[in-house]
Amino acid sequence: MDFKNIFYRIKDVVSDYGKLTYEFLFVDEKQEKSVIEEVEERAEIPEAYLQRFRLHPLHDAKQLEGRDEEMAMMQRAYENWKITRSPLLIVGEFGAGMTSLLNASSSIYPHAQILENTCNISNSDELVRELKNALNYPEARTLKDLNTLPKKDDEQVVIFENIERLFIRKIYGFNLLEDFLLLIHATKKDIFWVATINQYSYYYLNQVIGFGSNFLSVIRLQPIKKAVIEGVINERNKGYERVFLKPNTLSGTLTQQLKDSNANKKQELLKSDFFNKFHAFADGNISQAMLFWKRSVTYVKEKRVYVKAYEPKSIGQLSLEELFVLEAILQHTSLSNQELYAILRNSNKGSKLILEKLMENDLLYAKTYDSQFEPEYQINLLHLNAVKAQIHSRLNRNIK
Amino acid sequence: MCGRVFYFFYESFFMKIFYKILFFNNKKNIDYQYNILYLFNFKNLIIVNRSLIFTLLLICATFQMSAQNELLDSLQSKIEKIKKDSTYIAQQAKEKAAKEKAKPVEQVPGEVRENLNDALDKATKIISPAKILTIIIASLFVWLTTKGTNWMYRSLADSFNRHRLRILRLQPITNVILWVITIYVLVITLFNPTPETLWALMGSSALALGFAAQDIVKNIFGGLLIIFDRPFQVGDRIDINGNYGEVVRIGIRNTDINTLDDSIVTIPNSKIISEHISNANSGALDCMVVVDLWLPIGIDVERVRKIAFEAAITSRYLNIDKTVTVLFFDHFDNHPATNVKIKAYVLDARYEKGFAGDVTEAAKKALSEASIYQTVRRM
Repeated sequence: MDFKNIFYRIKDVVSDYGKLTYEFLFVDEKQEKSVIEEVEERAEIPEAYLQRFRLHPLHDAKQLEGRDEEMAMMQRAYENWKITRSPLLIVGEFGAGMTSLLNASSSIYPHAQILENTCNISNSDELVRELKNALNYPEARTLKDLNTLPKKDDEQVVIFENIERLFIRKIYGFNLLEDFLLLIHATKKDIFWVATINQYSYYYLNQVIGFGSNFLSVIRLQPIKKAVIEGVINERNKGYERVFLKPNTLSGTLTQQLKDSNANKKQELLKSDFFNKFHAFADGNISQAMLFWKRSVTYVKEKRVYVKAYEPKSIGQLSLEELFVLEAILQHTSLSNQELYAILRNSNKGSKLILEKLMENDLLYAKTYDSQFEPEYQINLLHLNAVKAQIHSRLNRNIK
Repeated sequence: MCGRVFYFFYESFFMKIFYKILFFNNKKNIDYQYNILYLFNFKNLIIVNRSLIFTLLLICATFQMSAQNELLDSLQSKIEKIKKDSTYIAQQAKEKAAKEKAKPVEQVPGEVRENLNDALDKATKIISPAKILTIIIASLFVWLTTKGTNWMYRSLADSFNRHRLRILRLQPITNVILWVITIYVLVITLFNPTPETLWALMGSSALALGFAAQDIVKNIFGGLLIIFDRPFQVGDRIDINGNYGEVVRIGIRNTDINTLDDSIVTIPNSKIISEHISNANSGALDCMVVVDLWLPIGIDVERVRKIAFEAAITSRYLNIDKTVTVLFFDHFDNHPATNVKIKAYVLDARYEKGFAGDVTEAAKKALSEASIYQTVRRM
């Protein structure tokens, strides 16, 4: 037995082991530090160019792209309603273009009343106020009054956007939603109800109160095809020449390929790499795609746009409490501090502190709908994928 | 399916190791190899499926029986040969004795010294300082490796929470495999024992262990049974003899349980295999939690049901993929009371108490607001 050999062998293995341990322990920390210390320098981009990528719902059906299938399904649901009298539910991801789809549905339902609920409805009075105008029944004072609507000759179509605004995840917080569902069932013979909901609220409500069983027709908005999204981006870049820059992180293969290519070939390679990253981030979501593009534009000179693939910052390992807050916000689309306090059953100050921390980390942003009320907090679409991944992994929720 | 594949792997792996240890591909022992192959072919008859130890005992027994028969035959032939040779040897001895008488007395201590030196040489060949040092360094290295792999498994479990239990259950198996391989390699490379030596060693060790280290052996066999029979795994929440908590480590001798008051209880494996074990989650991440509310007998059942149900479904700790049940039981023992049981699944067994506390708190608050008496939780 050669003792020297054994010694050297052990030495080699120990040094390898040490190296691996070091990489596992400290490399992530290093990367995180660089992210924290990184100062983002963004050149001024002309407002006229940014306007092209502003996120707002479309009002013209002709502008809506990639939703032909959903439009056909809405048409079919309306035809079915004439026989089955069943309401329609549309389930979609944040930023998937739900409002644009509903606006475009005016070609199918020309006389539809659209109730766009931008903030939470906490009591039946608020709901009645909204509904009596839409149903053209100003005398109604309670939901019971609306349950016994006088029959009208014309068929009515009412689109109730963001039905999740009617519930709040607390004891007695489902009453208003249940009352509204009862109203839908009571009036569905005369009114074609179209409700929309975000997919996290739908998942939660479906599991706990069997919400989906109230709707025979359910349309799930599918991710928009890559070619369609690219087409939209191309359309909005009309008149500008695009120059793709080398991204901060390059794969070994791409680096090699770039070395061996001429200028035109390089642009092709960089474009292909850019759109791979673009689609991986957007995942068929038009709003996320727009955000990615806006973040990727480094500067605009005359009629030339310089684009470098945006690299999302790591959100790190979120604490359990932070994840609970983010999950609650996903389930309700947006929440005020008071509502969050009621949902999480913790102290008012405690929930405010978590909200501030999440705002600081750019995971949330505050939106004020009415100056009389406190702001509501929404998830930043830039980090939606990362937040979803952590909720899926750490809270064992089956959302993807 | 995965369990079967893995079981096949570990069974064949261990069999191969023992097979190698027993025979070292010695062609003389071909009969014994056939015996073992015969046993392998009829492994279903001797129920090897679950108990590796039982199979090994059978292999030992078969081997010994075959060895005994062969030994008897060889003994008979040898006795006859010895009879023939004995007369010749006696004659030679007489001649040698006559010569010895003429030998000077001073030569005897010299021969004794030579014999002693020979014996010492042989002994140092078997147990040299280099070999001892090698064993110590290898053991230390494997010990460090097991610590490293344990840490790696824990880090992976933290990173991939959804697969936490699947990752953690590999931990004790890896440790056992590492140690078995190390011992095998060390024995084969350093000592290279003959089958006879090995059998003698095993026999004497068994005897020694039987008297001196009975409890340790029991624990080790218990540990192997727990690892391979898997009545529970790392991450499960079990109750043994009133000790309820999460299994944090399954060792060769002991199993550690982290109780709800965050103290580690170490239970010898021999005790565990002889006790009833209650497993709350059996390898799943979630587990059922029953929250008891004690209310006056004349409560409004409908209102209480709504409050109890909504207290559970609004809890952040709820596993929303599973149903929530609310049950009512009347008790008339000392004071008439209604026991409301809320049965729901928590998203992760680690938050079991947090979930129970959250539901109780919410229900208590709502019941108080509805003037339906105060609640008392019994776990």
